[in-house]
Amino acid sequence: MVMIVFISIFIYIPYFFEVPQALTNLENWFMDTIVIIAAFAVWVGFITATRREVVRIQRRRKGWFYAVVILVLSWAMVVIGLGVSKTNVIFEFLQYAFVLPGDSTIYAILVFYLTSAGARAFRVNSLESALLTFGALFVLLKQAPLGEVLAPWAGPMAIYLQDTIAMAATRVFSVSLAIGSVVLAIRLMLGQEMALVGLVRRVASREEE
Amino acid sequence: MVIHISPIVEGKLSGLIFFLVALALTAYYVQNKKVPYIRRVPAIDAIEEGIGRATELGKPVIASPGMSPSGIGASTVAGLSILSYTAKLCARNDLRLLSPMGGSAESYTTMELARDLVLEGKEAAFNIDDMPFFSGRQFAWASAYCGMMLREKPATNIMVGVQYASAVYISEVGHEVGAMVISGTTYLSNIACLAASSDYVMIGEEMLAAGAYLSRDPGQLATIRTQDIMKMVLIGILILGVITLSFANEAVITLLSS
Repeated sequence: MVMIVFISIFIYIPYFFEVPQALTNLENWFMDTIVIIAAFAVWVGFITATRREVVRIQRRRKGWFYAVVILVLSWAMVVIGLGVSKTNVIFEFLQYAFVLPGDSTIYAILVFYLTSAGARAFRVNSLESALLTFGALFVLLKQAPLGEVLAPWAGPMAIYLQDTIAMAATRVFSVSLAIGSVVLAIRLMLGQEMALVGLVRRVASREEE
Repeated sequence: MVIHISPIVEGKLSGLIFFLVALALTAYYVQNKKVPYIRRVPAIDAIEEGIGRATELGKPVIASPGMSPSGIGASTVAGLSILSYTAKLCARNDLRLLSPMGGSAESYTTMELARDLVLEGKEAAFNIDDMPFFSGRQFAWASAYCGMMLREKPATNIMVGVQYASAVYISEVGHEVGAMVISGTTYLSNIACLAASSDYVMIGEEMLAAGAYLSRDPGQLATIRTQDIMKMVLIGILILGVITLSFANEAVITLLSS
Protein backbone atom coordinates (compact mmCIF):
# COMPACT_ATOMS: atom_id res chain seq x y z
CA MET A 1 0.00 0.00 0.00
CA VAL A 2 2.92 2.30 0.73
CA MET A 3 4.14 1.67 -2.81
CA ILE A 4 0.70 2.51 -4.21
CA VAL A 5 0.61 5.81 -2.32
CA PHE A 6 4.23 6.60 -3.27
CA ILE A 7 3.67 5.94 -6.98
CA SER A 8 0.31 7.76 -6.94
CA ILE A 9 1.90 10.89 -5.45
CA PHE A 10 4.61 10.93 -8.12
CA ILE A 11 2.01 10.57 -10.86
CA TYR A 12 -0.51 13.10 -9.51
CA ILE A 13 1.94 15.88 -8.58
CA PRO A 14 3.49 16.37 -12.06
CA TYR A 15 -0.04 16.22 -13.53
CA PHE A 16 -1.35 19.11 -11.44
CA PHE A 17 1.78 21.13 -10.62
CA GLU A 18 4.64 22.62 -12.58
CA VAL A 19 7.56 20.56 -11.32
CA PRO A 20 11.23 20.16 -12.21
CA GLN A 21 11.95 18.03 -15.24
CA ALA A 22 13.38 15.26 -13.03
CA LEU A 23 9.95 14.64 -11.48
CA THR A 24 8.28 14.66 -14.89
CA ASN A 25 10.86 12.12 -16.08
CA LEU A 26 10.08 9.98 -13.02
CA GLU A 27 6.36 10.12 -13.83
CA ASN A 28 7.07 9.11 -17.44
CA TRP A 29 9.29 6.29 -16.16
CA PHE A 30 6.44 4.97 -13.99
CA MET A 31 4.00 5.11 -16.92
CA ASP A 32 6.49 3.28 -19.16
CA THR A 33 7.00 0.68 -16.45
CA ILE A 34 3.25 0.05 -16.31
CA VAL A 35 3.20 -0.56 -20.06
CA ILE A 36 6.17 -2.94 -19.82
CA ILE A 37 4.59 -4.88 -16.94
CA ALA A 38 1.35 -5.12 -18.92
CA ALA A 39 3.26 -6.45 -21.92
CA PHE A 40 4.92 -9.13 -19.77
CA ALA A 41 1.54 -9.99 -18.29
CA VAL A 42 0.32 -10.70 -21.81
CA TRP A 43 3.25 -13.10 -22.18
CA VAL A 44 2.22 -14.87 -18.96
CA GLY A 45 -1.27 -15.30 -20.35
CA PHE A 46 0.01 -16.41 -23.76
CA ILE A 47 2.32 -19.04 -22.27
CA THR A 48 -0.52 -20.29 -20.04
CA ALA A 49 -2.72 -20.56 -23.10
CA THR A 50 0.02 -22.45 -24.98
CA ARG A 51 0.39 -24.91 -22.11
CA ARG A 52 -3.38 -25.44 -22.04
CA GLU A 53 -3.61 -26.13 -25.76
CA VAL A 54 -0.57 -28.48 -25.70
CA VAL A 55 -2.18 -30.52 -22.91
CA ARG A 56 -5.39 -30.64 -24.90
CA ILE A 57 -3.52 -31.99 -27.95
CA GLN A 58 -1.58 -34.53 -25.89
CA ARG A 59 -4.73 -35.90 -24.27
CA ARG A 60 -6.71 -35.73 -27.52
CA ARG A 61 -9.53 -33.88 -25.79
CA LYS A 62 -12.62 -32.83 -27.76
CA GLY A 63 -11.70 -30.10 -30.23
CA TRP A 64 -7.93 -30.82 -30.09
CA PHE A 65 -7.63 -30.04 -33.82
CA TYR A 66 -8.57 -26.42 -33.13
CA ALA A 67 -5.83 -26.31 -30.50
CA VAL A 68 -3.33 -27.20 -33.26
CA VAL A 69 -4.67 -24.37 -35.43
CA ILE A 70 -4.47 -21.88 -32.53
CA LEU A 71 -0.91 -22.85 -31.63
CA VAL A 72 0.37 -22.80 -35.21
CA LEU A 73 -1.17 -19.45 -36.10
CA SER A 74 -0.38 -17.65 -32.86
CA TRP A 75 3.23 -18.85 -32.64
CA ALA A 76 3.77 -18.15 -36.32
CA MET A 77 2.78 -14.54 -35.77
CA VAL A 78 4.96 -14.26 -32.65
CA VAL A 79 8.02 -15.82 -34.32
CA ILE A 80 7.69 -13.88 -37.56
CA GLY A 81 6.81 -10.63 -35.83
CA LEU A 82 9.69 -10.83 -33.37
CA GLY A 83 12.15 -12.64 -35.60
CA VAL A 84 11.74 -10.67 -38.80
CA SER A 85 9.50 -7.64 -38.49
CA LYS A 86 5.86 -6.60 -38.40
CA THR A 87 6.16 -5.22 -41.91
CA ASN A 88 7.26 -8.60 -43.26
CA VAL A 89 5.15 -9.94 -46.12
CA ILE A 90 4.27 -13.18 -44.33
CA PHE A 91 3.26 -11.37 -41.13
CA GLU A 92 1.09 -8.96 -43.10
CA PHE A 93 -0.45 -11.86 -44.97
CA LEU A 94 -1.37 -13.59 -41.69
CA GLN A 95 -2.77 -10.33 -40.38
CA TYR A 96 -4.86 -9.53 -43.44
CA ALA A 97 -5.88 -13.11 -44.27
CA PHE A 98 -6.78 -14.36 -40.78
CA VAL A 99 -6.89 -11.74 -38.06
CA LEU A 100 -8.71 -8.85 -39.71
CA PRO A 101 -11.31 -10.95 -41.57
CA GLY A 102 -12.01 -12.82 -38.33
CA ASP A 103 -12.58 -9.54 -36.50
CA SER A 104 -14.79 -8.24 -39.31
CA THR A 105 -16.85 -11.44 -39.39
CA ILE A 106 -17.62 -11.36 -35.68
CA TYR A 107 -18.35 -7.64 -35.88
CA ALA A 108 -20.84 -8.32 -38.68
CA ILE A 109 -22.52 -11.10 -36.69
CA LEU A 110 -23.22 -8.55 -33.95
CA VAL A 111 -26.11 -7.10 -35.95
CA PHE A 112 -28.06 -10.34 -35.62
CA TYR A 113 -27.46 -10.49 -31.88
CA LEU A 114 -28.43 -6.83 -31.52
CA THR A 115 -31.63 -7.57 -33.44
CA SER A 116 -32.51 -10.47 -31.17
CA ALA A 117 -31.74 -8.38 -28.09
CA GLY A 118 -33.87 -5.54 -29.46
CA ALA A 119 -36.75 -7.88 -30.29
CA ARG A 120 -36.67 -9.07 -26.69
CA ALA A 121 -36.29 -5.66 -25.11
CA PHE A 122 -38.54 -3.43 -27.19
CA ARG A 123 -41.97 -4.53 -26.02
CA VAL A 124 -44.63 -1.84 -25.93
CA ASN A 125 -46.48 -2.51 -22.70
CA SER A 126 -46.26 0.89 -21.02
CA LEU A 127 -45.87 4.57 -21.90
CA GLU A 128 -42.13 4.52 -21.19
CA SER A 129 -41.53 1.44 -23.34
CA ALA A 130 -43.62 2.98 -26.14
CA LEU A 131 -41.49 6.16 -26.03
CA LEU A 132 -38.34 4.03 -26.08
CA THR A 133 -39.53 1.90 -29.00
CA PHE A 134 -40.69 4.77 -31.18
CA GLY A 135 -37.53 6.76 -30.43
CA ALA A 136 -35.45 3.74 -31.46
CA LEU A 137 -37.56 3.40 -34.62
CA PHE A 138 -36.91 7.00 -35.65
CA VAL A 139 -33.15 6.61 -35.11
CA LEU A 140 -33.15 3.32 -37.02
CA LEU A 141 -34.97 4.87 -39.98
CA LYS A 142 -32.55 7.77 -40.04
CA GLN A 143 -29.43 5.57 -39.86
CA ALA A 144 -30.44 3.22 -42.70
CA PRO A 145 -30.14 4.77 -46.21
CA LEU A 146 -33.36 3.03 -47.29
CA GLY A 147 -35.09 4.39 -44.19
CA GLU A 148 -34.05 7.93 -45.12
CA VAL A 149 -35.58 7.45 -48.58
CA LEU A 150 -38.82 5.91 -47.34
CA ALA A 151 -39.30 8.16 -44.29
CA PRO A 152 -37.42 11.45 -44.67
CA TRP A 153 -39.49 12.95 -41.82
CA ALA A 154 -37.76 10.62 -39.34
CA GLY A 155 -34.37 12.31 -39.84
CA PRO A 156 -34.96 15.62 -38.01
CA MET A 157 -36.71 13.84 -35.13
CA ALA A 158 -33.87 11.32 -34.82
CA ILE A 159 -31.26 14.09 -34.88
CA TYR A 160 -33.15 15.95 -32.14
CA LEU A 161 -33.37 12.80 -30.00
CA GLN A 162 -29.67 12.02 -30.47
CA ASP A 163 -28.31 15.54 -30.05
CA THR A 164 -30.42 16.65 -27.08
CA ILE A 165 -32.06 13.90 -25.03
CA ALA A 166 -29.56 11.10 -25.68
CA MET A 167 -26.63 13.50 -25.38
CA ALA A 168 -27.90 14.75 -22.01
CA ALA A 169 -28.27 11.19 -20.71
CA THR A 170 -24.82 10.22 -22.01
CA ARG A 171 -23.25 13.19 -20.27
CA VAL A 172 -24.99 12.26 -17.02
CA PHE A 173 -23.33 8.85 -17.21
CA SER A 174 -19.99 10.43 -18.17
CA VAL A 175 -20.03 12.71 -15.13
CA SER A 176 -21.12 9.99 -12.72
CA LEU A 177 -18.51 7.58 -14.08
CA ALA A 178 -15.81 10.22 -13.78
CA ILE A 179 -16.74 10.91 -10.17
CA GLY A 180 -16.93 7.19 -9.42
CA SER A 181 -13.49 6.63 -10.97
CA VAL A 182 -11.94 9.42 -8.89
CA VAL A 183 -13.44 8.10 -5.65
CA LEU A 184 -12.40 4.53 -6.55
CA ALA A 185 -8.84 5.72 -7.17
CA ILE A 186 -8.83 7.52 -3.81
CA ARG A 187 -10.16 4.40 -2.07
CA LEU A 188 -7.37 2.41 -3.67
CA MET A 189 -4.77 4.94 -2.52
CA LEU A 190 -6.14 4.84 1.02
CA GLY A 191 -5.95 1.04 1.02
CA GLN A 192 -9.70 0.55 1.19
CA GLU A 193 -10.30 -1.32 -2.09
CA MET A 194 -9.92 -4.89 -0.96
CA ALA A 195 -9.92 -6.54 -4.37
CA LEU A 196 -6.32 -5.59 -4.99
CA VAL A 197 -5.06 -4.25 -1.69
CA GLY A 198 -6.80 -6.96 0.30
CA LEU A 199 -4.91 -9.53 -1.69
CA VAL A 200 -1.67 -7.99 -0.48
CA ARG A 201 -2.90 -7.91 3.10
CA ARG A 202 -3.93 -11.56 2.91
CA VAL A 203 -0.51 -12.61 1.67
CA ALA A 204 1.21 -10.48 4.31
CA SER A 205 -0.86 -11.94 7.14
CA ARG A 206 -0.17 -15.48 5.94
CA GLU A 207 3.57 -14.76 6.05
CA GLU A 208 3.19 -13.53 9.61
CA GLU A 209 1.53 -16.81 10.54
CA MET B 1 -9.95 34.20 -19.63
CA VAL B 2 -8.43 31.41 -17.53
CA ILE B 3 -7.29 31.79 -13.94
CA HIS B 4 -3.69 30.63 -13.59
CA ILE B 5 -2.08 30.25 -10.17
CA SER B 6 1.54 29.22 -10.23
CA PRO B 7 2.78 26.49 -9.70
CA ILE B 8 -0.48 24.79 -10.68
CA VAL B 9 -0.53 23.78 -14.35
CA GLU B 10 -2.76 26.04 -16.44
CA GLY B 11 -6.19 24.51 -16.90
CA LYS B 12 -5.87 22.05 -13.99
CA LEU B 13 -6.92 24.25 -11.04
CA SER B 14 -10.56 23.20 -10.96
CA GLY B 15 -9.57 19.54 -11.35
CA LEU B 16 -7.12 19.85 -8.46
CA ILE B 17 -9.75 21.45 -6.22
CA PHE B 18 -12.22 18.73 -7.13
CA PHE B 19 -9.66 16.01 -6.42
CA LEU B 20 -8.60 17.48 -3.07
CA VAL B 21 -12.20 17.90 -1.93
CA ALA B 22 -12.96 14.29 -2.91
CA LEU B 23 -9.80 13.11 -1.12
CA ALA B 24 -10.67 15.00 2.06
CA LEU B 25 -14.25 13.75 2.07
CA THR B 26 -13.24 10.15 1.41
CA ALA B 27 -10.58 10.21 4.12
CA TYR B 28 -13.11 11.74 6.55
CA TYR B 29 -15.72 9.09 5.83
CA VAL B 30 -13.17 6.27 6.06
CA GLN B 31 -12.30 7.49 9.57
CA ASN B 32 -15.88 8.30 10.55
CA LYS B 33 -17.30 4.92 9.44
CA LYS B 34 -20.84 6.20 9.79
CA VAL B 35 -22.66 4.13 7.20
CA PRO B 36 -25.17 6.18 5.20
CA TYR B 37 -28.38 4.81 3.75
CA ILE B 38 -27.43 2.98 0.56
CA ARG B 39 -30.19 1.87 -1.74
CA ARG B 40 -30.13 -1.71 -2.90
CA VAL B 41 -28.45 -2.27 -6.25
CA PRO B 42 -30.41 -5.07 -7.95
CA ALA B 43 -27.57 -6.09 -10.24
CA ILE B 44 -25.10 -6.56 -7.38
CA ASP B 45 -27.66 -8.39 -5.24
CA ALA B 46 -28.38 -10.61 -8.25
CA ILE B 47 -24.86 -12.08 -8.01
CA GLU B 48 -25.90 -14.07 -4.95
CA GLU B 49 -29.09 -15.08 -6.72
CA GLY B 50 -27.03 -16.23 -9.71
CA ILE B 51 -24.69 -18.27 -7.52
CA GLY B 52 -27.72 -19.84 -5.83
CA ARG B 53 -29.17 -20.68 -9.22
CA ALA B 54 -25.91 -22.32 -10.27
CA THR B 55 -25.84 -24.32 -7.04
CA GLU B 56 -29.37 -25.63 -7.59
CA LEU B 57 -28.75 -26.49 -11.23
CA GLY B 58 -25.32 -27.98 -10.57
CA LYS B 59 -23.79 -25.90 -13.35
CA PRO B 60 -20.67 -23.75 -13.32
CA VAL B 61 -20.48 -19.97 -13.08
CA ILE B 62 -18.58 -17.95 -15.64
CA ALA B 63 -17.26 -14.58 -14.49
CA SER B 64 -14.82 -12.23 -16.12
CA PRO B 65 -13.51 -8.74 -15.36
CA GLY B 66 -13.60 -8.03 -19.08
CA MET B 67 -10.62 -7.32 -21.23
CA SER B 68 -8.24 -4.42 -20.81
CA PRO B 69 -5.72 -4.23 -23.61
CA SER B 70 -4.06 -1.19 -22.06
CA GLY B 71 -3.64 -2.19 -18.43
CA ILE B 72 -5.68 -1.88 -15.24
CA GLY B 73 -8.25 0.91 -15.16
CA ALA B 74 -11.18 1.80 -12.92
CA SER B 75 -13.43 -0.69 -14.70
CA THR B 76 -10.95 -3.52 -14.27
CA VAL B 77 -10.56 -2.80 -10.56
CA ALA B 78 -14.34 -2.83 -10.19
CA GLY B 79 -14.55 -6.04 -12.20
CA LEU B 80 -11.88 -7.65 -10.02
CA SER B 81 -13.82 -6.66 -6.86
CA ILE B 82 -16.86 -8.48 -8.18
CA LEU B 83 -14.76 -11.42 -9.36
CA SER B 84 -13.23 -11.66 -5.90
CA TYR B 85 -16.69 -11.77 -4.33
CA THR B 86 -17.96 -14.28 -6.89
CA ALA B 87 -14.94 -16.54 -6.37
CA LYS B 88 -15.52 -16.51 -2.61
CA LEU B 89 -19.19 -17.48 -3.04
CA CYS B 90 -18.34 -20.21 -5.55
CA ALA B 91 -15.71 -21.67 -3.23
CA ARG B 92 -18.21 -21.66 -0.37
CA ASN B 93 -20.83 -23.45 -2.50
CA ASP B 94 -18.41 -25.92 -4.16
CA LEU B 95 -19.14 -24.43 -7.54
CA ARG B 96 -16.85 -24.50 -10.52
CA LEU B 97 -15.78 -20.98 -11.52
CA LEU B 98 -14.72 -20.27 -15.08
CA SER B 99 -12.83 -17.03 -15.43
CA PRO B 100 -11.60 -16.31 -18.95
CA MET B 101 -9.01 -13.60 -19.26
CA GLY B 102 -8.70 -11.28 -22.17
CA GLY B 103 -6.32 -8.49 -21.42
CA SER B 104 -2.90 -7.70 -20.15
CA ALA B 105 -2.87 -6.60 -16.57
CA GLU B 106 -5.59 -8.77 -15.22
CA SER B 107 -4.27 -12.02 -16.64
CA TYR B 108 -1.94 -12.67 -13.76
CA THR B 109 -4.01 -10.81 -11.20
CA THR B 110 -7.13 -12.81 -11.97
CA MET B 111 -5.28 -16.06 -11.59
CA GLU B 112 -3.73 -15.02 -8.27
CA LEU B 113 -7.02 -13.68 -7.01
CA ALA B 114 -9.02 -16.76 -7.84
CA ARG B 115 -6.30 -19.09 -6.60
CA ASP B 116 -5.90 -17.25 -3.33
CA LEU B 117 -9.62 -17.25 -2.64
CA VAL B 118 -10.13 -20.86 -3.55
CA LEU B 119 -7.11 -21.95 -1.56
CA GLU B 120 -8.66 -20.47 1.55
CA GLY B 121 -10.54 -23.66 1.92
CA LYS B 122 -10.92 -25.57 -1.27
CA GLU B 123 -7.52 -26.43 -2.72
CA ALA B 124 -8.83 -29.18 -4.97
CA ALA B 125 -11.27 -26.80 -6.61
CA PHE B 126 -8.53 -24.67 -8.18
CA ASN B 127 -8.06 -25.50 -11.84
CA ILE B 128 -5.86 -23.27 -13.94
CA ASP B 129 -7.54 -24.55 -17.10
CA ASP B 130 -10.72 -22.84 -15.92
CA MET B 131 -8.92 -19.48 -16.16
CA PRO B 132 -7.67 -19.49 -19.75
CA PHE B 133 -6.10 -16.52 -21.44
CA PHE B 134 -7.89 -16.07 -24.72
CA SER B 135 -6.72 -12.95 -26.50
CA GLY B 136 -6.11 -9.24 -26.21
CA ARG B 137 -8.28 -8.59 -29.26
CA GLN B 138 -11.92 -8.06 -28.37
CA PHE B 139 -13.58 -10.21 -31.02
CA ALA B 140 -11.15 -13.08 -30.65
CA TRP B 141 -11.71 -12.95 -26.91
CA ALA B 142 -15.50 -12.71 -27.29
CA SER B 143 -15.58 -15.66 -29.70
CA ALA B 144 -13.55 -17.81 -27.33
CA TYR B 145 -15.70 -16.69 -24.37
CA CYS B 146 -18.87 -17.66 -26.25
CA GLY B 147 -17.32 -20.97 -27.26
CA MET B 148 -16.59 -21.67 -23.61
CA MET B 149 -20.19 -20.84 -22.69
CA LEU B 150 -21.60 -23.06 -25.43
CA ARG B 151 -19.43 -25.98 -24.27
CA GLU B 152 -19.76 -25.55 -20.49
CA LYS B 153 -23.35 -24.20 -20.37
CA PRO B 154 -22.99 -22.11 -17.20
CA ALA B 155 -25.95 -21.16 -15.06
CA THR B 156 -24.73 -17.60 -14.53
CA ASN B 157 -22.62 -15.25 -16.61
CA ILE B 158 -21.15 -12.33 -14.69
CA MET B 159 -19.46 -9.95 -17.11
CA VAL B 160 -18.57 -6.80 -15.21
CA GLY B 161 -15.56 -4.80 -16.28
CA VAL B 162 -14.18 -3.53 -19.53
CA GLN B 163 -16.66 -4.55 -22.19
CA TYR B 164 -16.53 -3.24 -25.72
CA ALA B 165 -18.77 -3.94 -28.70
CA SER B 166 -18.51 -7.69 -28.19
CA ALA B 167 -20.45 -7.48 -24.92
CA VAL B 168 -23.81 -7.87 -26.68
CA TYR B 169 -22.49 -10.94 -28.45
CA ILE B 170 -21.48 -12.50 -25.14
CA SER B 171 -24.70 -11.66 -23.32
CA GLU B 172 -26.88 -12.98 -26.15
CA VAL B 173 -24.98 -16.26 -26.24
CA GLY B 174 -25.39 -16.36 -22.47
CA HIS B 175 -29.15 -16.18 -22.98
CA GLU B 176 -28.93 -18.84 -25.65
CA VAL B 177 -27.37 -21.32 -23.21
CA GLY B 178 -29.90 -20.43 -20.50
CA ALA B 179 -27.56 -18.47 -18.25
CA MET B 180 -28.55 -15.55 -16.07
CA VAL B 181 -26.55 -12.59 -17.38
CA ILE B 182 -25.29 -9.89 -15.03
CA SER B 183 -23.29 -7.19 -16.74
CA GLY B 184 -21.72 -3.83 -16.14
CA THR B 185 -19.42 -1.53 -18.07
CA THR B 186 -18.20 2.03 -18.13
CA TYR B 187 -18.12 2.08 -21.93
CA LEU B 188 -21.03 4.48 -22.51
CA SER B 189 -22.08 3.23 -25.92
CA ASN B 190 -22.53 -0.24 -24.53
CA ILE B 191 -24.68 0.50 -21.51
CA ALA B 192 -27.87 0.77 -23.55
CA CYS B 193 -27.08 -2.44 -25.47
CA LEU B 194 -26.33 -4.33 -22.27
CA ALA B 195 -29.48 -2.97 -20.62
CA ALA B 196 -31.45 -4.52 -23.49
CA SER B 197 -29.61 -7.83 -23.59
CA SER B 198 -28.75 -8.61 -19.96
CA ASP B 199 -30.96 -9.75 -17.09
CA TYR B 200 -29.26 -7.31 -14.72
CA VAL B 201 -27.01 -4.39 -15.57
CA MET B 202 -24.96 -2.02 -13.45
CA ILE B 203 -25.39 1.50 -14.70
CA GLY B 204 -22.91 4.29 -14.20
CA GLU B 205 -21.06 4.35 -10.92
CA GLU B 206 -22.93 1.37 -9.44
CA MET B 207 -20.18 -0.83 -10.84
CA LEU B 208 -17.42 1.40 -9.46
CA ALA B 209 -19.02 1.37 -6.00
CA ALA B 210 -19.53 -2.40 -6.10
CA GLY B 211 -16.29 -3.14 -4.28
CA ALA B 212 -17.34 -1.00 -1.34
CA TYR B 213 -20.94 -2.25 -1.48
CA LEU B 214 -19.94 -5.90 -1.40
CA SER B 215 -17.28 -5.55 1.29
CA ARG B 216 -19.92 -4.38 3.84
CA ASP B 217 -17.02 -2.61 5.53
CA PRO B 218 -18.34 0.56 7.23
CA GLY B 219 -15.32 2.59 6.16
CA GLN B 220 -15.72 1.67 2.50
CA LEU B 221 -19.51 2.03 2.51
CA ALA B 222 -19.18 5.50 3.96
CA THR B 223 -17.01 6.56 1.01
CA ILE B 224 -19.96 5.99 -1.34
CA ARG B 225 -21.42 9.12 0.17
CA THR B 226 -18.46 11.07 -1.29
CA GLN B 227 -19.70 10.25 -4.80
CA ASP B 228 -23.17 11.55 -3.99
CA ILE B 229 -21.86 14.74 -2.41
CA MET B 230 -19.60 15.48 -5.39
CA LYS B 231 -22.53 14.87 -7.74
CA MET B 232 -24.68 17.32 -5.78
CA VAL B 233 -21.88 19.91 -5.90
CA LEU B 234 -21.54 19.47 -9.67
CA ILE B 235 -25.31 19.77 -10.13
CA GLY B 236 -25.21 22.99 -8.12
CA ILE B 237 -22.36 24.34 -10.25
CA LEU B 238 -24.27 23.30 -13.39
CA ILE B 239 -27.41 25.16 -12.35
CA LEU B 240 -25.36 28.19 -11.31
CA GLY B 241 -23.56 28.10 -14.65
CA VAL B 242 -26.81 27.97 -16.60
CA ILE B 243 -28.21 30.92 -14.64
CA THR B 244 -25.08 33.05 -14.91
CA LEU B 245 -24.65 32.28 -18.60
CA SER B 246 -28.27 33.31 -19.19
CA PHE B 247 -27.24 36.75 -17.92
CA ALA B 248 -24.11 36.77 -20.14
CA ASN B 249 -21.83 36.18 -17.17
CA GLU B 250 -18.98 33.73 -17.81
CA ALA B 251 -17.68 33.47 -14.25
CA VAL B 252 -18.57 29.80 -13.86
CA ILE B 253 -17.12 28.91 -17.26
CA THR B 254 -13.90 30.78 -16.35
CA LEU B 255 -13.69 28.91 -13.05
CA LEU B 256 -14.28 25.50 -14.63
CA SER B 257 -11.84 26.21 -17.47
CA SER B 258 -9.06 27.16 -15.04
